[in-house]
Amino acid sequence: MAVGLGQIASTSTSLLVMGWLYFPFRQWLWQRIVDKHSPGLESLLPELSGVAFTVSTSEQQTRWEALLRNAFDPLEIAPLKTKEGVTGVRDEGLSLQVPGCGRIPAYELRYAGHGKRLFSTRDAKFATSMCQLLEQIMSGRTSYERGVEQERMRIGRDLHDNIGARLLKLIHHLRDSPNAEIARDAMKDLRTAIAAIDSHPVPLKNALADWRAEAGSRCEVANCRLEWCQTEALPAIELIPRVKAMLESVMRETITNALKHAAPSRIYVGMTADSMHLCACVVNDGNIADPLVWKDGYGLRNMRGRLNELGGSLIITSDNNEVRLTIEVPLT
Amino acid sequence: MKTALLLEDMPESQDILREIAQTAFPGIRVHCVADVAGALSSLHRYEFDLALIDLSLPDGNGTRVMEAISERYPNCIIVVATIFDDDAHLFPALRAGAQGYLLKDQVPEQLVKQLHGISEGHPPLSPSVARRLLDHFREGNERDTVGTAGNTLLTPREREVLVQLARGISIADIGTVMDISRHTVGDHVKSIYRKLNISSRAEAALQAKNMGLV
Repeated sequence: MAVGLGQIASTSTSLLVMGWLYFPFRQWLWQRIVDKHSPGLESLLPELSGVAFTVSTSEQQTRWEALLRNAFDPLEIAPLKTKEGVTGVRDEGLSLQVPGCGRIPAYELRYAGHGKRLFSTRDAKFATSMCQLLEQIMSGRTSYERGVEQERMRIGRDLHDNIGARLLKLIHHLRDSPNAEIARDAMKDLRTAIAAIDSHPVPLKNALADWRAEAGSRCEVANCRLEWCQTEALPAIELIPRVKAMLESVMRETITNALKHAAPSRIYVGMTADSMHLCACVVNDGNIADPLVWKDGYGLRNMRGRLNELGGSLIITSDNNEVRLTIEVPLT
Repeated sequence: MKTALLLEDMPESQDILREIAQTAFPGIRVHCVADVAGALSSLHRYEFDLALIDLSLPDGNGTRVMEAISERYPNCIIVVATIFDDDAHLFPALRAGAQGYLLKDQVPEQLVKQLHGISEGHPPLSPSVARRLLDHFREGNERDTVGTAGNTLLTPREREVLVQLARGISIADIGTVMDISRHTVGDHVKSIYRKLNISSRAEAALQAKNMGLV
């Protein structure tokens, strides 16, 4: 009773001091120490949009995990199987459940701050905000993609309806004149261009099949025999639509060239491919002029231009009354 | 072939296609219409045994007319006349009952030859359509929801023909590879077309049943 306070008064005072001063001070001090390391939402934003724009699901999941580690530094992190019952803090702060979004599953994090602290309701709110933000960015991306897809379809339809119809009119107008062949080739190029608007990559073996069928039917019309040889085991490579379209035009041009100038009885096409290169060798017989005196017409210039763009090469040689075009392009 | 329906909205193409039909089948009567409505109403007035049908028309899609024809005149040979031979354009038409297709930009002699081929049951098939068909029948095999398995599954020979077509090999060369005549390969292709149409009808019927429509 040295300070002259009664028992009740001293208990009340110490309670007040504890409640109003000590606990807030301890909390303040604790947060100073702990929260210094936990990043704010704004510093996670670039990474968050990175997650949303990642194409592959598995990579997206990996990046999201990394982001959660960065935000909460848990000892354990594991995806949850169910989406149900996913709510905030559990086991009195030992674990935090983060809802899934898009193709990303829900996650359970255990032992926050490397086991140094418990998860708080603030953590739960923070996680929810992160998920909401991610969802918003993702839905923005989806509608953007839908827009691109619609635009692609519209361009395809316009090409089909306007240019296709006019070209056809021209073809029918020209009928049997030699110029009709130019218009027919243009129509084939248009088909190729419209197919390239499609965003899906094409397996190499499908591309070769398309080229073979086209060459086959053109040779049949011209009464010329097509011999086609290709590597038995083709590498499982996919061509992006633009590359497929460019190579398709080049292959088309080789056949056009042979049929137009040489009136061949036979065209041989040899296709070899490994994971690095595609090599096409087109040989024809017929009325062969020495390639040294060939004038680079539109067709050859076009072929060289496309191959240049792809980093490939074209070599023309002739011997024994045969002309040989060797085309090589890198596939990487 | 006595009477043909020609559904085509472009006058130049109409002229060429009429000429082709008349060259392929001398003496045939060609009834020309330029839109879906005209085609549908002409089905009530004439009996057709050949139909040449463009897909994109001012008042809709030609597949509607194909469905109506294959319903009303099951023996009529339906041919798509188009400028695109990719699966996205052709597959719905084949499901609707088309037995073949012509690419309108080809040389007229070639078109006559192909029209003959289709009428004799030797239709062409592009690799992309063949690939789509393979997927279709593979899925059909796995699901087998259609319930008419015997009618809609491919025989091993038909499947082999389809695999070769998907690789871009011509019908003549497939004959050599499989050691059968070109004619027999054509028969297989014809049968594949038919099975696609049957399976899509069966699917539609099943769907209608599931939805309580039948």
